[in-house]
Amino acid sequence: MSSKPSQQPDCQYEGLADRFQPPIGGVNDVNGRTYFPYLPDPKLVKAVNLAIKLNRPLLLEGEPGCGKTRLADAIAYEFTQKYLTDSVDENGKPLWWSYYDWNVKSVGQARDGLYTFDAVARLRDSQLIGADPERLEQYLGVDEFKNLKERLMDKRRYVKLGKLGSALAQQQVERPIVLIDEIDKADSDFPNDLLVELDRLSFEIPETDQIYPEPEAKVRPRPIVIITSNQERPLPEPFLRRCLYYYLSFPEPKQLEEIIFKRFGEKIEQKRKLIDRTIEHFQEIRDLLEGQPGSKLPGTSELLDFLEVLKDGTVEEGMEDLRTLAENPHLLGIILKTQADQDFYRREFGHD
Amino acid sequence: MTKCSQDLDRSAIAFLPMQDLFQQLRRAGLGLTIEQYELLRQALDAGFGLESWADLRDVCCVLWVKPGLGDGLETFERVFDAYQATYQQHLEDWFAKQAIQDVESESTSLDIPLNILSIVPPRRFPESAVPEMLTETETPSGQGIDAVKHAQLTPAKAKWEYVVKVPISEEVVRQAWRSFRRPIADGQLQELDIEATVERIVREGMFTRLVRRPIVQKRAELVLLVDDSQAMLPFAPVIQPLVQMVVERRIVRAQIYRFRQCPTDYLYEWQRPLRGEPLAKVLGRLNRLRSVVIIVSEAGATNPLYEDDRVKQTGQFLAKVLPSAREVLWLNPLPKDRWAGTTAEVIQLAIGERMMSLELGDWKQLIRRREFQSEVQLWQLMQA
Repeated sequence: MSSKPSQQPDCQYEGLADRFQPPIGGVNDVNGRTYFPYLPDPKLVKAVNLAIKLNRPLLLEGEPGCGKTRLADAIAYEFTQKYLTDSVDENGKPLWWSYYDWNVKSVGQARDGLYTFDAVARLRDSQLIGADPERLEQYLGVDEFKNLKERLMDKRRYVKLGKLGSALAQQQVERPIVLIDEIDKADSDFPNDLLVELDRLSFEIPETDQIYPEPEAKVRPRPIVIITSNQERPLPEPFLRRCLYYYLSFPEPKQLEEIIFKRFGEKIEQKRKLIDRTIEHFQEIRDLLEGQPGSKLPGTSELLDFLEVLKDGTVEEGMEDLRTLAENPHLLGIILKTQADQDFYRREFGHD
Repeated sequence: MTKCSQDLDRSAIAFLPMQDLFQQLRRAGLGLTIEQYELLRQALDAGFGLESWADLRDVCCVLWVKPGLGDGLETFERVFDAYQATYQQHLEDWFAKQAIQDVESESTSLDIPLNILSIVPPRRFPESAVPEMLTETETPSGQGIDAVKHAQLTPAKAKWEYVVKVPISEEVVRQAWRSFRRPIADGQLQELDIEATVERIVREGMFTRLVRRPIVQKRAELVLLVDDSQAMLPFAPVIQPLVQMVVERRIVRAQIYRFRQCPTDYLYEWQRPLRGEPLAKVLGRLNRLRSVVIIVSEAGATNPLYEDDRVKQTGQFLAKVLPSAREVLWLNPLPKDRWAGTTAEVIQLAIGERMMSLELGDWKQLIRRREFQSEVQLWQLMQA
C-alpha cells in the first residue's frame, strides 16, 4: 500500500483493456457512484487521448442513452486502476481518481459550476449580530456566537466551490476529470460564459478577491474536461471552436452484443438466442421510429434496462415477453418513453 | 517499393503539406481558424494522426469538424478524399523514385528529405480539389442559386456534380435566430433580488423577508409559415436551410406549417401536409413576449396581375397574427425590385420593413434590427 503519487502520471486512456474494466455488474466508489464496463470505439479512444494531450475539452454529442456520460466514468475508473493501484488515503481507504460530475440544469448559470457566494447567509449573519448581540450570545452560546463573528469577518467562508471550481482549485498532482453533463439544457449563453475559464484553467471570485488556482500554488491542475450534449439546442460557435468534437453513434449489433455480455456476463451467456432476438427487435423499433417527428429513439441504456428485467427469466419467458411487448405497458415503457411512440408501436407490432 | 495508402510510412505523413488541407477546407466552407491549424500541428508533434491516412483523417475530423460550422462532415470527407488522392500519388511516385535511387546508390536510408515539397508537382486546386463556380445561372429571383461544380475524389475519375449554393446558409440563419432571443423575465422560476432586498431593509429598518423576482431568460419561440403554392417551387432550395433547421430541431421551440398563397382558416403541418390545424388554435398558442412568426411567401410578386382577394385575405390574417406575437416578419424570396406593381408591393407598403427579401444585406439588417417601429397600416389591406 502506498499514498498518493507524487509525480504526475502520463494520462493515457486505453479503453478496451480488460484489466482496466470494472467487474461485470459494476462496482461502487467511495461516493456511491457505480462504474460499469464500457466498450468505446477505437476512434473515441483516440479522441479522448487527443483532448488530454492538447488540454482541450472533448464535446460528445449523440442520441440520448448512447453512453456519452458513461465515458467519463470509464476514464476515471481506468485511471484509478492504472495510476492509483494500491494507493490509500490518510485513513487507509483506497483512493479514487479525482472525478467531478456537473449535471447542468436548465436554469443553471456557468458561475454555479465554479462557485456560489451565499450573500443571503452573510446578510442574515450581519442582521443577527447587528440587532441585539447580547441576547444573541445568550441564545447561541459563546462558541457559536464566536463562530458567527469569525464567519462574518471572513467573506471566504460564504464561498462554496462548484464542480469545475473544485477541480481547478485542487492541490493534487493527478489531472482531475470533469464531466459537464448535458450542457445543452442550459441557456445558450452558458457555454460562452465558460470560455475564459476553460481556456485559462483558472477563475476569479470577485466577491472575495480570490483567484483559483491560487497564484502561489505549486500544482496547477489541468482538468480533463468531457462535455456532453443531447443536441437539444445548438451550441455557440466560439465554444465549439475551443472543443474537440466526437459524435457517438448508436452501436452496431455486434458491438451491442459485446456491451450486453460485458454488462451481464454469465447470467446471460446461456441466452444468446434471446439476446439476438432482442437486439433484432430493438433495431426494428428504431427503424420504425426513425424520422417520425417528435419520436425519441431508444438508446443503449434503454436496451440494458430492458435486459435487466428479462435476464432473470428463462429464454422462453423472455421470447414470450418480446412477442407480447405491445400488450405489456410496463415493459414497453422501459423502451419507449412517450405515449405517441407507444401507440405507434402498438399499431405496427400489436396483435389486435 | 510502392506503398499503399494504408501502409504509408509514419514519417511520410509528417511531411505532408497540412496547410494545403487546411486552406482547401477553409475554401470549401469549413469555418477554420489559425488556432485550429495550430492544434493539428500540436497533435502531429505529439504523435497523433501519423499511422495512416485513416488515422490522420480521424484526428483532423475530431479537431476541425463541428456541428454547424460550415457544411460539416460531408464537406470535410470530400475535401480530405481529394487531398488524399492528390498526395497519395505524389508519395507513391516519390517512394518509387526513392527505391530506384536506393538500389543505385546501395543506400539504406529511407529518410524523407526536407525538400520533398519541391518534388511535389505544383498544386492543382481549384481544378482538382476545391469547389469552384462553373456558371452563375440567373434565376427568376436573381438570388444567386448558383450552379457550382466540384471535382470528385480521385483526379483520374473526376466527375461533375451540380450543387445549389444558396445565399442564406445555415450559419446566417443561426445568427438571425440568436438575435431573436431576448432576455425576458417571465415564468415560474424565481431568483433572489439582492438590490430590492437591501432596499427593503433600508426602508423598513430591519430584515423582514427576501424579495424575489422572475429569472431572466433568453427566450424566443418560432412559428414558421411557409407558402407551398406552385409559385414557390423554384425557391425551395433557397429556403431549405431555414426549413431544415426547424425540422431537424436545430432551432428549438419552433413549429413549421405550410399554407397556399395566404394563411386562411387552416394551416397544414409541414411533415404531414394533409393534417390541418385551425389557424385560431395556432394563434392561441402564440405568446406576446416570446413568439416570432416568420412568413415565407412570394406574396404575389411572381404574378404581374394584382390579386385583390389575396390582399384582403392577407390583411385579415395579419390583423389576427400581429397582436398575438412579439414580431411578425415576411421573407420574400424575390428581390425587392420584383415587388413593384404586384400584390407584394401593396402588402409591403402595409407592413413596412417587416417584409424583406432573402438577400444577404436584408438578413444582416434582420440580425441588427430592433423592434420595428413603423405602424402597420392594415387598413390599406382591409380596404383594398
